[in-house]
Amino acid sequence: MRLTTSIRPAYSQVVICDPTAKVEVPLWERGVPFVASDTCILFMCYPEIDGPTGITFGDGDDVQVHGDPICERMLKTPGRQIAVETAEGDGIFSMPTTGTETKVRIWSNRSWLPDKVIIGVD
Amino acid sequence: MSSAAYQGFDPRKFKTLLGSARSVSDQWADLLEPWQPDLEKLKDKSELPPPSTTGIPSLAGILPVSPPGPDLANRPTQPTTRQGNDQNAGILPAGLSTFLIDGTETLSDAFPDPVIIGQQYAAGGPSGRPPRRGGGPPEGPVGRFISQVYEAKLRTLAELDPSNELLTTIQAPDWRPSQSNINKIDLEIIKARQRAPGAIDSQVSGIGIGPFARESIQARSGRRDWTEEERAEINRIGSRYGCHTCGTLEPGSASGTFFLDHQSPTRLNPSGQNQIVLPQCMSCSVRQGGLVSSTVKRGKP
Repeated sequence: MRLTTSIRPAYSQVVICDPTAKVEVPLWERGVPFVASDTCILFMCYPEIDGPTGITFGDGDDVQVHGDPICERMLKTPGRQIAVETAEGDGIFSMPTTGTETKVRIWSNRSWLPDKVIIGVD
Repeated sequence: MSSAAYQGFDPRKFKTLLGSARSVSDQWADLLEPWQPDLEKLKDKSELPPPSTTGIPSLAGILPVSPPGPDLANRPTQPTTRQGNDQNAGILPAGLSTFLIDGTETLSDAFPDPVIIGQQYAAGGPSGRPPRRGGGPPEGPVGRFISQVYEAKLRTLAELDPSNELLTTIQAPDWRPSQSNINKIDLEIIKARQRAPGAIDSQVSGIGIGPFARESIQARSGRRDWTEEERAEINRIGSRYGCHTCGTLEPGSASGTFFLDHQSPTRLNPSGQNQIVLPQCMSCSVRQGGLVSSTVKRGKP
């Protein structure tokens, strides 16, 4: 499965987490492309005032691109769901997971202010 | 002052004093009467020859021959204009003396300024509008509406923050509020709300209005469909005062323009109260987004 969209997310970032679970949102630090906790990843996109960001979401094998991912984390998904949302809580994508822990890999065309982001779930 | 102070006052004596004063005035009138012109004689045209230079040999042939003087018998008794059929209507030539109704004439060696018909002068113009006695121009409907909005917002600010300095600012009598004045009040109202106990978008939380906020613009809605004018105005404010959160003059965006930050944040403003827009840098915007996300997540059951 592979889903793609182009959006200008609020606050120029997307949130990856289990939407049904209690989530600890990490605090941003200056100069990094993403921050993560064991339940949530915040990933920076292209500045919303400058243009949209193309986001692709799907199984890791389906969306995998050549090269190392910029982010690779294990997220707790006790509700067996994982979703991509805006910072304001609006859903973009979601899919079920097989376990209560899910591996997430993220690729982007640039490490800073990327306008193409690929999110793979294993 | 008590009535005892008037105990020595005698109205009859006062009346006598008035009477004597009037009699002195009459006496002066009697003394001056021989010097007054006899108006009846002046009206007799036979005793007033028309002005002419021909009777003065030294001036004859030097001065241009002036047109015949006014016909005293047919001179007007009411002020008139020459707007009727004269091509030069509207401008009276300088130096033209006119006789007044009582036959007197004002003489001066200075040419007066031309009187332009239709022009407004200090004593009021042909529009009949009374002269102003100070103050600015009268307010139009838009101006009145802006004033009413300004007054209403001042009252709201007074309820939230009675000691705010904007409430004690003294303005000139002819001062009128503008949109930028309303924006300043809005900024102070939202700051006051974010200072209130229990506010989740306080300045300390990193979500609310930052310490570098000086100017703002009115938000049309909670959406982020900005116009070019709004972007330009926020860039102007940002390049002058910096990011409202950290004060940096570097926006950090790809285009070099500042982010437009709603305050209060739209997602934390469910009641739909008025919002303002402030300039913000990329780092502060992203950080604020994380804090908003955290607040939204905490709000979930």
